[in-house]
Amino acid sequence: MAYTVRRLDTLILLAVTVALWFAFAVEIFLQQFPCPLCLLQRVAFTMVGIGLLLNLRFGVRPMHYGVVILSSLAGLAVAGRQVLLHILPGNPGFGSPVLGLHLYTWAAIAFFALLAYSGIILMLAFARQNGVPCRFGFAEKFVAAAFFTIALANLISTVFECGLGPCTSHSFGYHWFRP
Amino acid sequence: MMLPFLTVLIAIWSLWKGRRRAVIGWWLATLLIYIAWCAYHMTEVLGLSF
Repeated sequence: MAYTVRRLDTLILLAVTVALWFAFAVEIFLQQFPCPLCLLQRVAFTMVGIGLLLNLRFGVRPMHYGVVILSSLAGLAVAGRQVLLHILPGNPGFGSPVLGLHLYTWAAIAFFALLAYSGIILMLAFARQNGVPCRFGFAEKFVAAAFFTIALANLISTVFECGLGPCTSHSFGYHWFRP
Repeated sequence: MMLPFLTVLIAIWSLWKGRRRAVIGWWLATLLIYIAWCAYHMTEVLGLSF
């Protein structure tokens, strides 16, 4: 599994590197100079690359995926902000679109995909660790019971509102409780 | 704006040299500088009108 994860990390690092080189080529050859938010996204991609490189250099560890996740969140915040800056109708956006989307929109998608990738790898690569069941302490039992109760309450209220099928989109209320 | 690029480059150099704790430290420094630049560039009033 660790060997597969290393290969996947290498592939993702290659994709991040290609994205950075592509943005650099657009800057040099098309003379489209990056805005401050664009530069911050480049920093975030490089920070993601460090997390992946840590795996390749020092072995696959959950902490290294923490680096990838925090870097991706930082990048997603800036890319999302830039998407929202140009979201109004009639706004041409910043720079030329590539395959129908601007580079910052592609960046937002990429950071989102990196988050999903990290989540999947953390689930699969470390599935066999810390598998020993533990007993709840008093405070943990209280919080877990409150958590279970609200999950149950949400199930019951949703059944009252929507029944066993799809919810109605035009009237809201506990139809099963008060038809 | 050059500062996060410098610190992230030092992080990569430390990684190349096999200094894991230095990598994490420089990555953390980059993240803090990143947040500072975000606060500078992402807090101006948006020119929206509805």
